[in-house]
Amino acid sequence: MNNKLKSLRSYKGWTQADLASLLGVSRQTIIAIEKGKFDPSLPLAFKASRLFALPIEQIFSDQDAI
Amino acid sequence: MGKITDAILIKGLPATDARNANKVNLWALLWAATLVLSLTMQEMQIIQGAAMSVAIASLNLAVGMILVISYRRMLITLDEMERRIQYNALASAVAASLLLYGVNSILSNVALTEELSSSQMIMILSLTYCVSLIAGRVRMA
Repeated sequence: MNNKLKSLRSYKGWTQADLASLLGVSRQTIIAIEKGKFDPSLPLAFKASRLFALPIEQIFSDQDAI
Repeated sequence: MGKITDAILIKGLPATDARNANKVNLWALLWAATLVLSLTMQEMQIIQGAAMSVAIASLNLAVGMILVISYRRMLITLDEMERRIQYNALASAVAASLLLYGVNSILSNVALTEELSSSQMIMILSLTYCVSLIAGRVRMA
């Protein structure tokens, strides 16, 4: 799964630790999501969606989608 | 090397998760201590008779149950990536132990190896769990 978490975070001027704290996860989780090594759960994706006030599909996208 | 050290020290884990993990570690240590102490006292014949053995086995079981409950509680509240790493490590530990036990059973029948004792099984489980845990954290870093 691809995501725009890093660019959205940078746009807001947040550090990885800031975003981790706002989403209630560890900084390691944010690092892994940004690197594409870990796909977040649906509740976490919804949380990110609410935080950035964007639809989930604008933050996360399925790389296998046509 | 830094990645491995960070993985061992679980760097960056939220304070609540770290506190819960410490509780689990303490219970695990206590469980291992009651197990070793019970077996040693039996071997040294400090504890004799069925009633005393049942009493120390009950103590070990009680501590073990608290360990399992605190581990479950920790998993429920744990950071979601760390939780996935923990599940993978548990699965790997069980799989590796079963495979090793199976292979050893065949080989011990023809006296190529010795039969595994229960303490050796616990050691294999613990070791593969720890290695899988560290490998999982390093992979995600």
